[in-house]
Amino acid sequence: MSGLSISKSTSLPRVRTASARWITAALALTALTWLVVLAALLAIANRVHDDVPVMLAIKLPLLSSHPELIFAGESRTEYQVDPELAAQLIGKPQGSVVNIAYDAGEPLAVLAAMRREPDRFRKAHVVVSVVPFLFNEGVRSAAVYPLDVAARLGVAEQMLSFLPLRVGTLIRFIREAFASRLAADRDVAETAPQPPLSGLQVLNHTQSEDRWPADVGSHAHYASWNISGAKARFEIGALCEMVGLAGKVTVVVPPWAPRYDRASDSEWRQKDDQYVALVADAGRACGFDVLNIASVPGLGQGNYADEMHVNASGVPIYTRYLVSRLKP
Amino acid sequence: MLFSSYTFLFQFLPAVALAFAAARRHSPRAGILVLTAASLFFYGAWRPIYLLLLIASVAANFSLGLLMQDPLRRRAVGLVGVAFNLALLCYYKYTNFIFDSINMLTGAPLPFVNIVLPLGISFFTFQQIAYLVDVMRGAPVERDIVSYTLFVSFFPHLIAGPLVHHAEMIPQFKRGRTSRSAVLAARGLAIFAAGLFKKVVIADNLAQFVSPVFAHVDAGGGVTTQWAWLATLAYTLQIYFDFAGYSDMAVGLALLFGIRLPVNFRSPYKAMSIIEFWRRWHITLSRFLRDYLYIPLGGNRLGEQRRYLNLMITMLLGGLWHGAGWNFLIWGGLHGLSLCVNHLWLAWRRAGAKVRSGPATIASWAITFFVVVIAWVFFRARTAAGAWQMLGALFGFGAESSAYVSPGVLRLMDLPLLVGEKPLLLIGAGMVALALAVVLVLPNVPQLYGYREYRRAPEKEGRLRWRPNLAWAMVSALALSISLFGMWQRLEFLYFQF
Repeated sequence: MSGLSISKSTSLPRVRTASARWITAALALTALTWLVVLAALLAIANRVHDDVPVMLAIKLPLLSSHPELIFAGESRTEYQVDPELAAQLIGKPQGSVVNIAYDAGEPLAVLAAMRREPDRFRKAHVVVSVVPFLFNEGVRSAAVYPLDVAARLGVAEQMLSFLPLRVGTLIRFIREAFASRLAADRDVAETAPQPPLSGLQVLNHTQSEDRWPADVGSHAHYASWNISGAKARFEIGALCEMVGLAGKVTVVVPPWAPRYDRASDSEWRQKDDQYVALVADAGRACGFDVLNIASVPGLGQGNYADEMHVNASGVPIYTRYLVSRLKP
Repeated sequence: MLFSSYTFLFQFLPAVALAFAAARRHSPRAGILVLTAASLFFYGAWRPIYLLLLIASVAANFSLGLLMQDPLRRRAVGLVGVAFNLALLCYYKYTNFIFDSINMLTGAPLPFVNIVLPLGISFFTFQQIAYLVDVMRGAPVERDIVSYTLFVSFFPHLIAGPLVHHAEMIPQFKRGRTSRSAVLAARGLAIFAAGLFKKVVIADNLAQFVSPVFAHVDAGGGVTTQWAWLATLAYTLQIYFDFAGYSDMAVGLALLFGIRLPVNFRSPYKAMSIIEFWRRWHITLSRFLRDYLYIPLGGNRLGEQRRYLNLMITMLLGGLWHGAGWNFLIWGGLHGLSLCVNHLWLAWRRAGAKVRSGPATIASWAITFFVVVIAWVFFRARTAAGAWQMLGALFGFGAESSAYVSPGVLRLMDLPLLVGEKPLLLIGAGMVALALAVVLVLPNVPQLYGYREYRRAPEKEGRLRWRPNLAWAMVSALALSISLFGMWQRLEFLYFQF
C-alpha cells in the first residue's frame, strides 16, 4: 500500500500508476467494508426480526371476530378465496370466516400468529395453502424467499447462501425485519383497521397472451429443484406444529391454470408429485389434512389472471369448490 | 436512471467506463463518440419519446448556429433561436402556470393540460440559449455536431446541472491528451463517493423531518413551532446536501472520463451576506443569470434605481426558472429584495467606513442564514397557504387542533425504528445540528479534494486535503459502502423537478 502515496516530486508515470492503484484499493476496500456492514446489518436484522410480517399483521385484526374458519397461506388464497361467500355456504354469519393470506405467505408466519394469539385459533379450522417455492431450495429470489426461513439461517449461512447474485433477498430480509419489528412494536395486529372484504384481494385483470409461461415444469417456482433443505424442514415443521394450536388444520395445494397439462409435462408432474408427497407425508405423520386440487370443475382459462391466480370471475367458482371439499 | 441507483452504478457506469477506455485507446474522437451515445441512452432510459425532443432541440440549435455564420443574418437568426428555446421551455414548464394565473385573474375556464416536464429541460435549454447569445456576440460557431451534442447532453450534467458553458466544455472534448486520465479518475472517484454520501446518507435521512410536515400544512393542517423549525431547518440542509451532492457526483463522474465540470457550490451556508450566498450557491445558475440576464438588462451601469430593478427582475425570473408557481416567484422576490437591501447596506457602510468586528461577523452570518431559511419555506411548500401556515408557525402562530402529529418513527437509511414523537424531535434536532456543523466546519469539496476547474480556485488550501493514499481510500470506501445501503430508499434528487 505504500505505493499509493504520491509525493510532489514524483514523475507523471508513477503518479498515474499510484492513481490506478488507489482506485483499485478504494474499490476493493469498498467491497470489504460493504461486506462488514452487511454482516452487521444482518446480525441486527436477525435480532429484530418478527416472524409475523407486516402483510400478515395488518390482516390479524380480522381475528377479533373469533372466526370458525380461517383461510391463510399465500397468494392463491389471498386472491382466490372469498370469506363472505364461504360464510354463506356454510351457513354462518359474516366474520365467522376470514382470509389472512398474503403474497408469498409462509406457514412459519401463520404459526407465529397462532402462538401470539392462541385463543383466536384454538377452536378454528385453519386452511393453509402452500406453493412449491416454499419448499424448493432452488428458488432464492427476493420476491418470494420465505423470510422466516432466512431468519433461521444465521449471518454466515445467509451470506454464503445469497451472495453475490441474490443480495436482493438479503436486502429485502433486512428491510422486512425492521418493518415487522415496527408493526409488532406498534401493535398493528390489534390496532390496525380491518381490511375490506374480510381479507380477500381481487385481481381484475388477465395478462396478455405473450406473458403466459410456455409450461409449468420449467417455471421459476420449480427451478433448481431441491426440497430437502432448510425451507422444507422449517415450513413442514411449522405445519406440524399448527396442529396442536388449532381446532383443525387443512393444507391446500391449489391448481395452476387449466391451459397447462400435467400429462404432457413430465418435468412438472415429477416435481409436483414430490412436493405434494412431502406435504402429504407430513400430514399423515402430524395429523393435518391435505387437499391437492389438480383442477376445479367450471374454472376455465378465462377465469385466470395469470398462470396461477384466478381473476374476479374465478373467485366464486374456486371458493365454492374449496369449501365443498373441506371436511368438517 | 438516478446516479444513486444500482442500475446506474453497477450496469450503466461500468459499461460506459469500459467502452470509453477501449475507445480512447483507439482515438480520443472514438471516446467522445462513446460518451455521446451513452449520454443519449442515459436520457432515453427515462422516457424514450423525450429523447426525440432532446435530439430535436440539439439539432435545431446546432443548425441555427451554422446559419449564424453569415454575419448579416446572425442577429435575426439568433433572436429566432432564443425565442424558439424559450417557447419550448414555456410550453413544457409554464403552460399550466400561465393558464392557472389567467384563470385566477379573469375567471376564464382554461383547461389543465397534461404535460410531462422533460427531465433537465431547464438546463439544456439555458445552455443552448447561452450558446446562441454568445455566437450573436461574436463567439465562434461550433461545426462539430458530435462535440456540440455532447456539450448539451453529457450525462453527468444533463439532468440537474451544473449549467455548463460551451466555451468551457467543447475544447475539452477536442483535446487529445490522455496522460492524466488515471489521476483525474482517482480524484473523480473520491469526489463521487463524497457526493453520493451527501445525497444518500445526509440529505435522504433529513427528508423524513421535511416531507410529512410540509405535506400536512399543504393539505391545510397546522404545525407546532417546534416541528416548523425542525422541518424548515432540515429542508435547508436537505436541499443543500441533495443538490451539492448531485453536483459533486456530476463533477466526479465527469472526471472519470477526464472532463472537468464547473464547481456549483462553495459552502453557501458560510456566507456572510446574501450577495456572498449567491456567489456560493448554484454558482453556474448565478453565472448564467448574471451574464445573460442581469448584465444585458443594464446591470449596475444605468444608475442605482435601475440596478435594483434589474436585480429584482433577475431574481424573480431565477425563481420562476426553478418552477412554475407563485411560491417560486415569492422565493425569487425575497432573494431579490435581500440583495437590494444588501447592496444598500454596503453603500451605506462604505460611506461610514466601519470595520467589521467579531460580533458583527456573527450577526452578518446569522442574518444571512435566517433570510435564506425563511425563503426556503416558500420554495418547499407546494401551496401558498401551506407556506404561510409554516411561516406563521415558525413565529409561534401555528399550533392548532389540526397540528401535525408524528407517528414517532425514526427512519435511518429507511429502516424504521419506533422511538416516539418527543425523542424523534430531539433526534431530528441532533441530526440537523450535526449536518449544520458539517456545513460550517468542514471544507467544501473543491477545497477538500483540491479540485481545480479551468479557473483558479478562490479558496485557500486547507490542511485537510485529499491525497491518493490508504487513509483516503478507506474514507472513500466507507462513504461508498454506507451509501450503497442507503440507496435502497430511491428518493429522487430534489433538483430533478426543475
